[in-house]
Amino acid sequence: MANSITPSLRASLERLKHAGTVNGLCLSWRRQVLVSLMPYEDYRVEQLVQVLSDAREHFQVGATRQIDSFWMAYLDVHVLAVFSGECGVIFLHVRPEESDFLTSVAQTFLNDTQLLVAAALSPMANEASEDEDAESWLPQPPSIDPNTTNVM
Amino acid sequence: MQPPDQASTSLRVFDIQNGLVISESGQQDADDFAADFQGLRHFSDRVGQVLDLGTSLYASVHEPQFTFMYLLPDNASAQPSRATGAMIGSSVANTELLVALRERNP
Repeated sequence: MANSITPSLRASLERLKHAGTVNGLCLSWRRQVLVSLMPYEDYRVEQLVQVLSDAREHFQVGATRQIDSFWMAYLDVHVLAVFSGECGVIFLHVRPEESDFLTSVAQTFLNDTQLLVAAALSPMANEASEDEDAESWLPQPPSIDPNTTNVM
Repeated sequence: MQPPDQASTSLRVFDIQNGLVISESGQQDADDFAADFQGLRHFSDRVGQVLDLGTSLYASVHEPQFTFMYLLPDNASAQPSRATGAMIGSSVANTELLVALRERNP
């Protein structure tokens, strides 16, 4: 799936790396990794997304709660996961005082990139529509309709 | 999972000592706190395990009208016997809640 991600989505995510002391970033949809800019192997990032999805489901069991974000601190780094619908952004960042700013940045990012994410999730539909558009520019065979004339 | 009492917008602070939740705000709050603490700490430690970051020092969870955070002592072992935490029925900044907990446990 990573190959089908539009470059603009990856570029938008890369800009978030400048929002603070961000060491890593990941964009997920449900339990899948859409874009990973993490300093970890892919399988670890996939496990991270799985664990955070498990955590979200654990707290949301019964649909009585709605989890917006998790923030977890370790010796040298923090993990911040911000969710919006089925998408999530995961940060690795250093300074604790940046967490609130990064949360708002992630929420804005998730709101602003809904179309890009939708396009990344359904590349076949996009390709099909692009093919249709492309075909509309090809020379079309003349249609012979006895009811129409070329007389102006 | 049952939602904690989200009506109270006052900060409710809890201490855990030797596995017991100490609270001044009632048994229901203590039970809610214990459930969230166990769940969040479990998943935080799993995240730390996946990324080789060790065990968590503190963590928070945010809902639109609820915020929960726990803080372990600096010299906490893998299974600390002490912890402090807080929950509030509104969305509070992580930094603000962390400062409040650290002031309580300097």
